[in-house]
Amino acid sequence: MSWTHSSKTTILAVLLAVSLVAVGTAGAISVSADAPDQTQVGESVSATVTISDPFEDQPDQWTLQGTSGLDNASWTVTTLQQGSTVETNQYAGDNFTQDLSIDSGVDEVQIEVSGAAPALNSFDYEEMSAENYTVATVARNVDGTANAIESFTAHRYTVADGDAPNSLEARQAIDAAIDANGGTNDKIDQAISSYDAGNFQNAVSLAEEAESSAGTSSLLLIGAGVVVLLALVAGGYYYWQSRQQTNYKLQ
Amino acid sequence: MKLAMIGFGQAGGKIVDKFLEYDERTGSGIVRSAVAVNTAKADLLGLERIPQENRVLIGQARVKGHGVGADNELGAEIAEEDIDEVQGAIDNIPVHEIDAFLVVAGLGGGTGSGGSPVLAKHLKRIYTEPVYGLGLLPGSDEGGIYTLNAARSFQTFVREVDNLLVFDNDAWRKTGESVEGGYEQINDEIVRRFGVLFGAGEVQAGDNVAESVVDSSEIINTLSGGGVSTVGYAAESVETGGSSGGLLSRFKGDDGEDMESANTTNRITSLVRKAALGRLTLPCEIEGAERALLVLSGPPQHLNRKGIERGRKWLEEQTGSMEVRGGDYPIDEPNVAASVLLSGVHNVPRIKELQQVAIEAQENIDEIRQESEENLETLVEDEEDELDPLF
Repeated sequence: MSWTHSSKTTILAVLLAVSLVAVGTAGAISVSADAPDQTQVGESVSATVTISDPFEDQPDQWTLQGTSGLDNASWTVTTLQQGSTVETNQYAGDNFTQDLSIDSGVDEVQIEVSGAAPALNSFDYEEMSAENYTVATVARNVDGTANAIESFTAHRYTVADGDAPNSLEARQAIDAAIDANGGTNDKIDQAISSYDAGNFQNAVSLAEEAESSAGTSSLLLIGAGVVVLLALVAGGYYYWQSRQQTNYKLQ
Repeated sequence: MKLAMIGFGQAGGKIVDKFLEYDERTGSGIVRSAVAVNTAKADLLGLERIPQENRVLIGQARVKGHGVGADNELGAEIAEEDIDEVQGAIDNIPVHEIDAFLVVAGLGGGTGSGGSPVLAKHLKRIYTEPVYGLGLLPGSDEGGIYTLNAARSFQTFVREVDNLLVFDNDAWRKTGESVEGGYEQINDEIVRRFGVLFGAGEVQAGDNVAESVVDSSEIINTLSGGGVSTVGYAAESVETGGSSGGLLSRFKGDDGEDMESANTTNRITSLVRKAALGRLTLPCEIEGAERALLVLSGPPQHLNRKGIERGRKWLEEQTGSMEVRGGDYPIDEPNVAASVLLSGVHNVPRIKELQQVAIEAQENIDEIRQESEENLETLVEDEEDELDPLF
């Protein structure tokens, strides 16, 4: 799997990074996270959230809450004190809750979730985030009010159907065609609607056509430029010639 | 004809510069060496093509590089004093390669007007090659002092050179043109006329060679009687390539050819008339000119023996001189031109006019000088003589 230089992916990654930072500062708890951002449907995915100093500037007791969009999600929640494990709990399902108390002496909580990337059935080239899913959300629940601590979303792409391309390959082909043409054109728009309809084979072939024709159109442009240059040179030469006419001795 | 050109003064320097440009542009090869002499540094700086080592500034001790201010007596004095410096530049000239010297100067100013006769005298003393002068007369509207300068310089210059070719600005100025534009045109005209004349004998390998080449000796012999000379010129555009001939003439047969020949002859004779009777460099009566030279230039197919002979004969009749030389100068151009050099002209009303104005100017200047002290005193002293100066 290779990363495209699609601007949309970059924006997504940046947004992801920003969201990680923004959401994480729900008080003075420090959070570190580890999660993938591009997954294939059905692929085994796991993510980890580590919460340090869970009670600093926080209530002495609060409920840890986690939700996930992964299929067959399972959670492992480990509480630690001074680096040694206090308690490990396993949960199955797309959500869990666990109460935390300062009296337990806990100073670090590790939450790990794993599961499979869910299926992708509706496609949207323009809005890449519509193809995202939530890997996990970790929240702090105090007296019924939930404050999100951490949230990950990831983009997913389909499994290839035989020799046909998958949704990521189709997306990448369209990205390349747009780059080559410096924008969209009719053919690329057709490719996009094929993609949105889930017809990746068609989308890829249209995108490739659009990309190669961009090559030829820029070649035509260069050819035209050369012709204009030659015309200028020829014109300049004729003008020079006519000026030479004035270098007569007699008049 | 290969010349060593020495431009004295501002006008002289500019014209020699222009000759160099003509040479460059047309490949005529008439200027073998070019020198410019001046008392004003600015004028020497303004030249474009004369090599730096051939630009001579004289009279620095006396006028500090600022010119003589139209005082041609001072110009002559300075030229006498600094003639060795000028000789230094002339030493660079490969004299064995030139046919004649040409001293070019405007006669109305100070440096050129005064210095050119001095230089001519000096050159004649040292070299055996002919020394010709090209003098420019100021326009009649330029004023008294310039006319006076020109008249006096003219008298001296004619005496010192082997022949003086004259160009009269007065005949050539047009109303309503800018100063620079006007001089440009005049300089172009001068250079073209003399350029064609002097260039007629310069043949290189691969050029068309004339039937009757106008060698430098033709020119020298025409100018040998001394005195004052003028040049007439007329040119006409023609079609080259023989588009009217060629295919059609084959079917037309002999008649076509005769017509062509008649046209050519007529064209030549009418050009000669136009050249001699039209605008001469120095307007004058051509009758009484001692010698003449006729050069027909153009594509060889437009120059024929008959036309040139007719033209020459006509000139003989007009001038009353039996010494009229003629020749052709084949050039690959869609133009035909006739140049007429009339040497030793005597009937020049313009010069008489010039001298008249000069005499008046001189009288006026003398009068003013005499009365000057008296007039100043009348102005400065008060009526009753009551006031005393401070010291």
